[in-house]
Amino acid sequence: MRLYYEVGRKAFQRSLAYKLATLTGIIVNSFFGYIHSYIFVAVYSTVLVSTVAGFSLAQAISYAWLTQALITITQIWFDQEISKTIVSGDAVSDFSKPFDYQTFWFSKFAGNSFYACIFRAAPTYLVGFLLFGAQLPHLSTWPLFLMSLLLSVIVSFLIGYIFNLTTFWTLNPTGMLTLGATLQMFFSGFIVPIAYMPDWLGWLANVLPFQAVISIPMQVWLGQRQSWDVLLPQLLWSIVLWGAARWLTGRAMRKITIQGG
Amino acid sequence: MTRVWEGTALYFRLVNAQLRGKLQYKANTLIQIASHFMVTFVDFAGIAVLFNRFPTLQGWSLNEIAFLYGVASISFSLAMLLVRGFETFDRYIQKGELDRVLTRPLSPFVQIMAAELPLHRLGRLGQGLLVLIFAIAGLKVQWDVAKILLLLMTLLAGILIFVALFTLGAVSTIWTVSTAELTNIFTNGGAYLTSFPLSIYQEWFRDFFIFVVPLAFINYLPTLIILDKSGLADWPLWVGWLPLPVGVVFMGLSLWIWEYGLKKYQSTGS
Repeated sequence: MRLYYEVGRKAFQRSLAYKLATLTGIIVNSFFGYIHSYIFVAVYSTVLVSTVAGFSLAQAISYAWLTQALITITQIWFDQEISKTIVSGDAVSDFSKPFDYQTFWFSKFAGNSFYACIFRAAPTYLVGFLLFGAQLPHLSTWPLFLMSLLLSVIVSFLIGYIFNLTTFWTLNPTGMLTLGATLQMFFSGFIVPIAYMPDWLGWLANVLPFQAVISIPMQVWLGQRQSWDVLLPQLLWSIVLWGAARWLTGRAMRKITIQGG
Repeated sequence: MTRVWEGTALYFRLVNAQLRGKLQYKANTLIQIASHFMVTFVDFAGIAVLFNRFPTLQGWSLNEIAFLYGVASISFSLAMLLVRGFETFDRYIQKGELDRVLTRPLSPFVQIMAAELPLHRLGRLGQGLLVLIFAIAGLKVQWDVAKILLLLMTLLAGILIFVALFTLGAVSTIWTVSTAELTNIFTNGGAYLTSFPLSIYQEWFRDFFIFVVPLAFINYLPTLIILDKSGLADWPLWVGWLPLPVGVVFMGLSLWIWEYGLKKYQSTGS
């Protein structure tokens, strides 16, 4: 346990060294938050009703800033670090080290998430809060939100991990990882809220695991969902995907042993 | 003028070599093109979903937005095919590659431009073309020679302006550390923000993208003329005919800064 904590702490500290990168990151996130806010202002100005698919304009603007914040925490774009070690062959030596491979990578991921939460997400949302009136949830919502955020990090890690592991079989990660990240961006409700989607597309989004990454914590933050059962899909996917990732890791190890034989 | 022709001929020779190399890996290249198509497709799908809930975007229909999107996407992806070397320019400096480039008796600009041919970006070009076709098919535009010429000039100007932005981003790394992410705001972010009518943003933001970084000319201002839209109250419509002069001036300016930057780099080297 101590080892994994140290791995996470190291990932956190490494990110801490890149102060300029963090600052430009906040600027980029704010830039997109700004554009999305004005897109929502433009579309809401043409309708007479005050809420569309459960979103008021203020909520839509909060959504614009919250999604920019959440993608930094959940690292939605699929980091390719794992797949690079597979291509280079370093993964083989990682397998033989005395730690659990999957937990090792999760610790790194969690360290980065924790860093992003404090130094990327919070400042970005603060900009939205100060300049655009992005909403803060009621104090009583915080425990549920933090739980949901934690689960979203776990699910996001597992999806990215599984897609990265496919490199063992494809040997060429780019296509697969780009495809996965694209699906995740759309079906997590990052590009547009799932509630805006036509029924069939919304249905699809709700049976896929990606909604656990952005949409669910977002709905909790905005106060659209307030009961604890909102966490059920996240919990379910955490368990299922953790098992799937374990199984796949085992297969990858066996494959290496056979080939390396 | 002969310098320009020589440079162009050289560029195509170098790129031809790149192309033959890439075609050794046909399947891989095709997969990358396809996945890039998907990535950008999702972008537009997001806009389409928005129109599932909202009838217009400040008076603009889905087809009209698609027109803006398609034009921006086409010129951006064509520029992206040219500029891969500029995107990774900070590495040229860090690894000392730039010194090697500078000692060759060939234009450094052409050398960097021909350094890599990212064929997968054809995926985005294909997507932009499809969206533009969808837009035009659904709009009743009275096409005449002038409008067709304006559209072509706009696309050309868009390529010039985006290439200029990548060049500026690259040369800035001579003075600062990697600014890739900031350049990203104007390039990727630029293609994104121009997918919507500029009139939806605040005045200072809009003016910045007219006067400082003239992205307004890569689609919005000419589109007002082509689609007969009423535009910004404080701007005469005829400025929409100016994309090409604006593009040429902006490109010239960035080339001038590029040359200046390289000269500075040489003098600090010794």
